[in-house]
Parts: sequence; structure tokens; C-alpha cells
Amino acid sequence: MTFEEALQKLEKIKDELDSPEITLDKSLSLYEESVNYTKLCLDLLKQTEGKIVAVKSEIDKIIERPLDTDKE
Amino acid sequence: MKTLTLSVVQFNTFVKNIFDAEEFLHDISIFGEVTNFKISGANAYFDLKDEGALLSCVKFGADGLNIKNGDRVTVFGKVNFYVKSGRLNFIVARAAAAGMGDLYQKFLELKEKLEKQGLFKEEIKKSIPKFAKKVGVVTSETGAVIRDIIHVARRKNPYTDIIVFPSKVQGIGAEDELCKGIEYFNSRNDIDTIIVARGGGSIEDLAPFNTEKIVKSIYSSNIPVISAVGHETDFTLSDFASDLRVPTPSVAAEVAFFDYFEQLNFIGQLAETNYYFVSKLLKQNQNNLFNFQSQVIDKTKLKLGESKSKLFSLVKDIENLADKNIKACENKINASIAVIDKLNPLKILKNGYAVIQQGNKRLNSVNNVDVGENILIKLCDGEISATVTNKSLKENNL
Repeated sequence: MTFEEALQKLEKIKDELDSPEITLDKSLSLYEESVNYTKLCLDLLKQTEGKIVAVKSEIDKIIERPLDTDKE
Repeated sequence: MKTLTLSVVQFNTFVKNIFDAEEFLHDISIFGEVTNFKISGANAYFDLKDEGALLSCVKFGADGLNIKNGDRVTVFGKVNFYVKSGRLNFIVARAAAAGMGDLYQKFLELKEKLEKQGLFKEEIKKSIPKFAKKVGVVTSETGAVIRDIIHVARRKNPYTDIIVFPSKVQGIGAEDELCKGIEYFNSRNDIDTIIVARGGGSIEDLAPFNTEKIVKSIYSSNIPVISAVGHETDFTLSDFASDLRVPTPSVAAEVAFFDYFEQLNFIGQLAETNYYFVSKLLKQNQNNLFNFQSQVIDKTKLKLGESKSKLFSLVKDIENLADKNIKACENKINASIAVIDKLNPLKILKNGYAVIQQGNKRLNSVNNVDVGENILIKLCDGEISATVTNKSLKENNL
């Protein structure tokens, strides 16, 4: 599941919790579900952050900061 | 017959006497073409010529003598033999022009003929190579002309090859040798430019350069020919036929040989400019790449931040809603408890109400018990056993 898909699931849970006829049971089970999706999202975010750092360091190895053309 | 041996003076005097005695030679007119005309001091000196002969002439006091080289003139005067020099000349009293010189006339006629044949057309002239590697020179191997050419050429360019085809440049056989030179260079495959050159001279001297043969030779040359013949003001048929006419041999060298050091400098500057621009381009590209990479990373970080925000906001909302729902339930429960509590029988008992039993039956009316019967009175904290002593029915039973 992608981050966006999990986020969408959370939106749906939020909408359901907002409805007036909801039972206590359903509230609690929905809340449990939301915890799982939240965990998934946080994991995906952490992975992305890690990739950015890895790619940046790779590129930094190849490209030095370019010099000003006016200096020789 | 016994020959007489005389001294030179004696002999020359004898000859002079013969001339002086000849009346016919005292006042005579001679017709011919003026050539080698020059003024020296107050006197004019020239030669009178035709196809077969040449005669030296002098006019003392040159004013009034309106003749020039090429003029066909009749001179009036007398012959003179000089004892001292052993030379003969003609002392001109006066001269009468008789139209243009023969040689010059022939020159004009030939020029017209060859021009009509299209040998001098501008369109067929080839351009002189800018960067010749080998230059062929047809000229006399002695004299100022070849020296000047080499001097100017070497000053400009130490490396371009100069190949000299030595040739007579006047007199009999000159035109053949000149043509041989042009043909020789054409027979090679490495000559870029040909220079045909000679210094100044009379119209006779320049004659080889006014022949049909040399014009045809220059015309047939596949290699460009520069003609540098005579003085600045002389124009020969070779000049018209050539791909470029220059006034002097030095100018021919200036044109034919490129300036080596100037070119070297120019190339050096070009190389520097190229390096600068390529360098600049490279650095620009590096900068662009670096900036692009920075932007991509920044955008991704931004997206990451946004996603986190969205997630946390959503989670907070969910928590709040769940909380709200639970609180709502709690409230409902508490309300029910309150109601139930009010209905709790134990609470009623606490207020002093009792439950009365007879046997197993709970009494709820005075009619259900008689006086003297045993009853059990249940209070909130225990029981009392009792006997009915008296009973009465309430009026307006509710």
C-alpha cells in the first residue's frame, strides 16, 4: 500500500467517526484500525527520508560545488 | 697588296674623314622607331631602330623635341664618327613624328586579338591562395628581382618553400624559357602559386612578356599566376593574362606569402578564446546541474514535510473524534445510572420504607393479614419479627 492510499483510509475512518449514529464498539475498532495505518504511514515517511539522504550523499560524491567562473 | 699598320688614332681619324667627306651624309633624314629615349643634362639621347638595325642618336638642346619611346619618327641631321670612342652616332637637328611606334602598334593589335579570344576575361581569373605552401618563381636567377622576392618572402614566412625556375627575361629565347618555367611548375603537383617577374626595361626588353606564347602559357596554367613585370607604369600582355598583376616583384612576394607569425598569433588567440568559452560552458553546465539537484532535493524534502503534516493532522482529528465518541457514551451511561439509581429499592428502604412479609408472601394490603398473625418486617439493615395487634383500612385508598 502506498502512503497516499493509507492516508485515504485514515480520511475514511475520520469521516466514519464523525457520523452521529456510530456505536462505541465501531468507534473503538475504527480507532484501532487507524493506529495501524498511522504506523504504516510513519514507516513509509521514514523510508523516504532515508532515501533522500542516501541519494544526496551519492550525488555529492560526484559533483563538487562548482567554482565561480570569474575566479581561475 | 701590302697592308698598312696604323695607330688607332690614325685609323679612327681616317674613318672619320671618310664620313666627313661624304656629302650625302651631311644632311640626311632617317626614318625609324624611337627607343631607349633619355634626357641627360640639356641633351636628348635615344636610339632609332627598325627590324634590321639600330642607330644611336643625340639632339643637343632637347627643347622642342617632342618624341618618346615607340614613336615612329623621321630625324634630320648628320652622321658623326668620334675618333676618341670609335663610335658613330647621328646628330639630330630636328625630328618629325610619324605616328606610333611599330612595336607598340603590334602590341596593341595583339592585345586586341587575344582579348577577343577571351584570354583576359575577369571571370576565368583564379584567386591567389592565401596560405601557399610552395611558391614557384620564374625569373632571372641573378639580379635584384629574385633577391627582393626572397627577402620579402622570408621576412613574412621562414617556412614556405620558394622554388626558382631560372629563366632569361629578355632577348632571344626568353619567351621559351619563361613558358617552360610556367609549364614546369604546372607539371608538379605541389606548387600553389607561380610568380612571373622581371624588373624595369624598354619595350624591347619587355618583349618576351608581350608574346602570344606567354599569354597562352599563363592562360593554360592550372596554378594561379602573379605577373610582376617592369616598372609600376608598364603593362604587358602577361599582366593582362595573369590571375593577378602587381606593380613590383616585392608586392608579388607580399601577396603570395602569408605572414607566418601573424597567423601563429591569431591561432594562439583563437585557442585561448576557445578554451575560455568551453571552460565557461562547462562551468555553466556544472552550476546548472548542481542547482537542479539542489532543487530536486529541496522539493522532495518539502513534499515529505507536507505528507507528515497531513498525517499528523489526520491522526489528531481521528483521536479527537474517538475521544468525543467515548465521552458521548460516558455521558449516556452516567445519565442512565442516575435514573437507575433513583429507582433502586435499597435507596427507598433507606428512607424508612419497609417490606412486610407473611410467610413467603409480601404484604401490600391490610386485607391480606389478620390480627394476631405473625409478620416479618424487612428494613434496610435487618428484619423485625412482629404480631399484628390492630389494623385499619384507610379511606380514599390510593
